Amino acid sequence: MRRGDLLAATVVLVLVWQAAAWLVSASILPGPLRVAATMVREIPEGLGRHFLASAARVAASMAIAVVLAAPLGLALGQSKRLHRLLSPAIYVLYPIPKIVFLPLILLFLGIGDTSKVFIITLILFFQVLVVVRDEAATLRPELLHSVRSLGAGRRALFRFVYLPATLPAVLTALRLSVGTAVAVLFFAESFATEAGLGYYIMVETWTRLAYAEMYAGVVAMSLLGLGFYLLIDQLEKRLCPYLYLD
Amino acid sequence: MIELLDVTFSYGRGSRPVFEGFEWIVGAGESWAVVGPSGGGKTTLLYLIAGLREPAQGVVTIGGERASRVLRQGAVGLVLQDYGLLPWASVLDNASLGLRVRRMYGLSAPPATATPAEWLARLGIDHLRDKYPGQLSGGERQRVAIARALALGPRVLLLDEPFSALDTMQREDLERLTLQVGQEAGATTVFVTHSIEEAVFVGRRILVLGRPPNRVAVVVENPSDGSDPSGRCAQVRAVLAGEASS
Repeated sequence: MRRGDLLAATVVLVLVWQAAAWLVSASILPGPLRVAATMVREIPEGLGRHFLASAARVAASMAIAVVLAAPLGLALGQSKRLHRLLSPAIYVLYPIPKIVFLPLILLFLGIGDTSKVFIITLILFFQVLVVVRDEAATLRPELLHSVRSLGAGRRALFRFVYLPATLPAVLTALRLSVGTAVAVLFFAESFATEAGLGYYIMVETWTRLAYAEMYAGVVAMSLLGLGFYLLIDQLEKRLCPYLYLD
Repeated sequence: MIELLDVTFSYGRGSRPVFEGFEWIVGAGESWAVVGPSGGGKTTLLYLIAGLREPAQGVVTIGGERASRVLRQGAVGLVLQDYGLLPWASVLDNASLGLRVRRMYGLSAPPATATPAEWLARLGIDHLRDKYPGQLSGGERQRVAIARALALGPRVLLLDEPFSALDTMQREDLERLTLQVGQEAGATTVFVTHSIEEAVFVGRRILVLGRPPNRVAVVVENPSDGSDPSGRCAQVRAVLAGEASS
C-alpha cells in the first residue's frame, strides 16, 4: 500500500465523519477536530496508559500464538502421521467461535491480563496453525530433495526451507487476524478490568456519557488495529523482500 | 565410482518394481546420459544414486560408501528441472547454500575447485548475484543450480532433465557449458534426459532404460570422436524401441 493512497483514504474518512457530524449536529456525534483535541488532552490523563495496556496484550498474544502454533503447524505439515492423528481435532476446534469460552476463561484464569491474552492467543493460534500447516504441506518435494542433496538434515531444512517458506503465511495469518484480535480484546476489556481501551470506552466514558472522550477511545482502538496491520506489513517487506520484486 | 549392485526398488508394497536385481557401474570421471520412456525409472535412478531413496534390496555406493552416507556429506550435486532454488534467497545465497548448510553442522568447507562466487562468474551470471530466482530466466536459474551443486566440489553431478524447459539455443549452450564445468570440477556426471539428441551430445556412454522393471543395464557406447551423431541417435532410438517393447 502506497503512503499517499493511505493518507488520501484517511482524509476522505475524516471528511465523511465531519460531514456526518454537521448533518447530525448532536453531542452523540462530535466532529473529528473536537475528538482530536480531546485525544491530545486525554493521552496523559489515562488514554495513553489504556492504549499501552491494550497494545501489550495484543503483542503478547501474537508472540505466544506464533511461538506455539508455527512449530506445531510445521510438524503437522511435514509428518503425515501427526497430520492424521491431530487434524480431525483441529477440524472440529477451528470453526468454534473461541469468544464463547471467555466466561470460562475468566473463571479459570481470573480477571487480570492472563485471561485476555489467553483468549486472543487461542484465536490467533488456530489461524497461524492452519496456514503454516498448509504451507508446509504444499512445499514442492523437488525443493526439499535438492536442498537435502546439499547435505541438509532436519535442522537445516527447518532453517533454510520451512522457516522462510512459511514466514509470509504466518504474517498473512497475523494480518488477517489483527481485526478479530482487537475486537475480542475490546469485548474482553469492557468488563472485569481497570486498564485497556475496552475499559476506557465502555466503562470510563460511555457510562458517563462523555462522548468526545468515548470517540477518542474508539479512534485509539482503530489506530491500535491499523498500527499492528502496518507493523506486520513493514515486517513482511523487511523479512520477505523477494515478495516485493518489480 | 558409482555402483548399483542387485538393486530392487518399488514405490510402495505391492506395486510393480522400477528396478529388480539391477546392476550398473559408472567409472570415476565418466560422463553418462540416461534415456528411457516416461515412468521408466530415470528420476528414480538419480534419487537412488543421490541417496534420497533407499533400495528395498541391494546397495548403491559412491566411491565404496553407501549413497545415503554420501548424501549427508553433500558430495553429490543434484540439479533438477525446476523448483530446486530457494525463491526467498538471492542468487549468491542460493549458490552458497551447500556451504551454509555445512557451516550449520560445524563442518569445514569441502575442497572445491572454486568458491560459489567464482562458479557464478564461470557460468556467466556473476552480475545477477543479488537478484532473486523470480527475476531470472529459466536458463539463468539453471546456471545458479549448477553453480550451487559445483560449489561443494561434488564427486558426482546428477542432472535430471535440467534444460528441458529451455529453447534449443539456450539448451545447446548450457549442455556445452555443463560438460566443461563438470570436467573442471572433476565430477562424474550422470545426465537424465528424454531427448536422444541431448543424450548423444552430453553422454560418452548412454544407459537406456526400458519399461519397468529394469533388470539389465543396456548401454550404448558413444565415444567423443564426434563422428556420425545422427547414426548414433538412430542406434539409441532402435535400442530404446527394443527396450520399450520388451
